[in-house]
Amino acid sequence: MTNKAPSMMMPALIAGGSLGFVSGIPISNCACCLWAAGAGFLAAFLYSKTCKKVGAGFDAGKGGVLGLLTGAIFGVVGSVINSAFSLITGGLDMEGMREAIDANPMISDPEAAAQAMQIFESVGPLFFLLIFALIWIVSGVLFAALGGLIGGSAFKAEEASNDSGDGWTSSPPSAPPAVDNPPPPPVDPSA
Amino acid sequence: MTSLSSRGRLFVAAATLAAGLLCLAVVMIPVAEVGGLPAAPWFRLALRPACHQISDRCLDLGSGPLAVCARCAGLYAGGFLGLLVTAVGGRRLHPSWKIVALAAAPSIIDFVLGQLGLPSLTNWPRFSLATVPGLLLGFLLGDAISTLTRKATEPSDGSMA
Repeated sequence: MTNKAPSMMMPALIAGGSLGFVSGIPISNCACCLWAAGAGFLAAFLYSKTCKKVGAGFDAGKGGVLGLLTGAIFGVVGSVINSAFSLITGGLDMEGMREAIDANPMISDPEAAAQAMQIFESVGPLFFLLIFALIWIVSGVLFAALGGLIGGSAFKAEEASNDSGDGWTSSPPSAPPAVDNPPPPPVDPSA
Repeated sequence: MTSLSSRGRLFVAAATLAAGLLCLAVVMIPVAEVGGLPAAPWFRLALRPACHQISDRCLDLGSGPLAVCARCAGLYAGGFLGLLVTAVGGRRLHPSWKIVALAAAPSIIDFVLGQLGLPSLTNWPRFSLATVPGLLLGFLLGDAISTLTRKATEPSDGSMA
């Protein structure tokens, strides 16, 4: 028998939201991939606990899906927080952008640096914030999915069977019909 | 510990190959930059979302700082080794999450110390410490890939208890 799997939204919100928030703070974003992978892992941990409570199964497949969901929340929360910090602290002003361009190993040519600055001035910092947010979300989803996959393996939970008769209660089964009525008459083996 | 199916082993081997290529890229990017390969900075930039890439915190094998920091390099190398052991050994290794947490504790403590501005480890010890949780996570990833492969290939029969 299968037990109804609990909703993935709550663990995804808790793990993705909290770690996304922390990773969005500029001072703590030096472990970017670990925050995202950690969010997936934490969500898997929380979800496995819920699954064990209701007797539902949890494995790497579900962990991966949960990681994707967590990563999306992580990415959105992290990019919003980081963008807010950037706007408040002026981290994306012209001078900051010029410094970033100068520090970029890809732009060694001064002419290319000037061109990049021109592009930046023409499109404005909000465009770059949007691009940055997209990168944040995509990388967050990838790493959190990996974390969820690993978490699904680490916190694997077997599906509890309901036919033990030991008083264990769980959510109503979803696949076969519920056995609420008196048991069927015994089958004649000779038939 | 259970054996991997041939298909599961194939997928774990593919993941091992991908992890190996990632490790190779991390090492080869500074070499390619020194060699003047135009695409090299792009590859370094591609790894930017995964790591802060602060030069002082990256290992230097003689051609300049690697493309990720020492801790990330340790995690990647450990993960690659974990997947390799799973693929070559053909067995699913499943360390308990408590062991993983214990293995990660020194790296976490070092990270926290660094964040607090207290003295923390240098790059090589940081790399070495990170390989241990990386290895265990590699085992778990191999196990996860094997589970996914099994679920994807087994006949979908939901009627079994």
